[in-house]
Amino acid sequence: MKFPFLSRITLFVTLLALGALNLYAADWGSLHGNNRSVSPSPAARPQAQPNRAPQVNHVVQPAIRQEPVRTPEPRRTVQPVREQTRQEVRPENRIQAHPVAVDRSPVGETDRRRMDIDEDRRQSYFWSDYHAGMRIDRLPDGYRHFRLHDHDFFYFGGVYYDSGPSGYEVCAPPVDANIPELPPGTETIQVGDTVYYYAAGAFYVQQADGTFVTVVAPLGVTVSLLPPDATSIVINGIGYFQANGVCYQPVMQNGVTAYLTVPQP
Amino acid sequence: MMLAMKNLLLLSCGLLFVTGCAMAQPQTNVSPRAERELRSACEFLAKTHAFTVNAEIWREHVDEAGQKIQFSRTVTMDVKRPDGLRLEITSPNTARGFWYDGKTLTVLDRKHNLYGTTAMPATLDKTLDAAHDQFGIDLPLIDLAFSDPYKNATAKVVGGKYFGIAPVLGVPCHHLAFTQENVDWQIWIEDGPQPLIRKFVITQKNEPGTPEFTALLTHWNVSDRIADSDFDFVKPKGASEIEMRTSESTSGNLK
Repeated sequence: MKFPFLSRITLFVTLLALGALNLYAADWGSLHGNNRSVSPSPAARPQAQPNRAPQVNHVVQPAIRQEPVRTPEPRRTVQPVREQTRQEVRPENRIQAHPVAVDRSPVGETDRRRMDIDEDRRQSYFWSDYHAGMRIDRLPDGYRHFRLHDHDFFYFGGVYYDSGPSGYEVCAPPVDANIPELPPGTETIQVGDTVYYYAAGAFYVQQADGTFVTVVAPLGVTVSLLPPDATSIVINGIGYFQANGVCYQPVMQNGVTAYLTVPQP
Repeated sequence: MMLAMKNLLLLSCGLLFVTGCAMAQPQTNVSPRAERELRSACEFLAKTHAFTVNAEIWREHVDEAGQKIQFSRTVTMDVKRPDGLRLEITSPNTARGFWYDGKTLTVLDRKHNLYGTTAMPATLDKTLDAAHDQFGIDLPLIDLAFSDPYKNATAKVVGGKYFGIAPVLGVPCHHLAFTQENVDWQIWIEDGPQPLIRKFVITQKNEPGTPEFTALLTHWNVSDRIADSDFDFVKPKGASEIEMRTSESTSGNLK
């Protein structure tokens, strides 16, 4: 090597810089936590961007295979079609500006602070009061109507509805639904180069035009909040939760219970 | 000649490194009164072999619109030095218990009746570090549990002021405020023979909205009477064990 000494210095400085980036994690309930974490300087912090997709702060367990969960069976007449279907949106029913729960934390901050209060924030999200099978007489103001796989759907605030003989019924999020903005309470998950957004049992991927499309759930990712209609099951003595064809295994993460998407046992 | 130049380069780098280290050490500007009151409280706490304390804590969350929302918890904390910790953290929507008995740390999610357990070092100090670093567990008020609370509290302090006596829930307290690069914090210490910490505030000054953590501490008991069994986890009826995930399994994939 021509400049071994300088190369070593360069490597050392680079490792220091990378270490500082990776170690950053602000804590809250103690000085100890804050002192063991590395904070960026105020100037280095990104500014909040309320109308853009949340920053990535959620990652996956590399050991678990990254393959999609079986396509959830949409309710009733909806058939699982993989190609994106053009959606018909009536101008008068375009969704109103709906607040997106963007995590304002900078990239690299761990989930621990957010996860600690997720259960407390849950009730503030519109979708928390709705579960599949629930019937309502009228749709919320500002709902969005779209056709998907020759079936009419309605959407508002993370909740999907289909029409029934006596009103509307809350249904599981259909795959391939396209929405202009993320629902409130969205968690961000990175799987390799793909960034998923999760809320109310639906996993979204952002499209080139800035909209978001529901996709099949990735395996091996953890989410803080179960879908509102999740039911507990026990298989071979192990407890799981299940919703919309996705199986969640509870794990203890950052000192709170989180839910890992796993293959159907 | 080449050797001389190399030595000169090494010397220059060495001087640069030493200068850099010296500059990295922030100048502290702590008033003597603030230092004295804080040391008094911390030394009293360190000499207390075992104690229990209750707290009501608030954590601020800044939402997407910039509005601050406060989430509250009640905390009961039992500490027995050097190897016993018991915490119950309760909110309207969650209830969690933590047990450390000198060998293992167990976290119980009472709402779902699920628990995770893992081996830990033999002392509280090392365990609190390991819980944070390996499992991402950030427990409120653990600054009280360290064997040297003063060293823990002042590790990154660069400034401190004394603001006189102020009441906290009717108890006259010394009001102190300290500055660090990443946070500011304030502490209220009882004025009297037992310099107990009565209130504590951490301000995340570099974050949007500067959210705060606030704790009001009540029902101090420093009588040293805590049974060892208090720190033993007893599995509740029907509770299921789940995996305790390490930080390695939940991070490292950021782009």
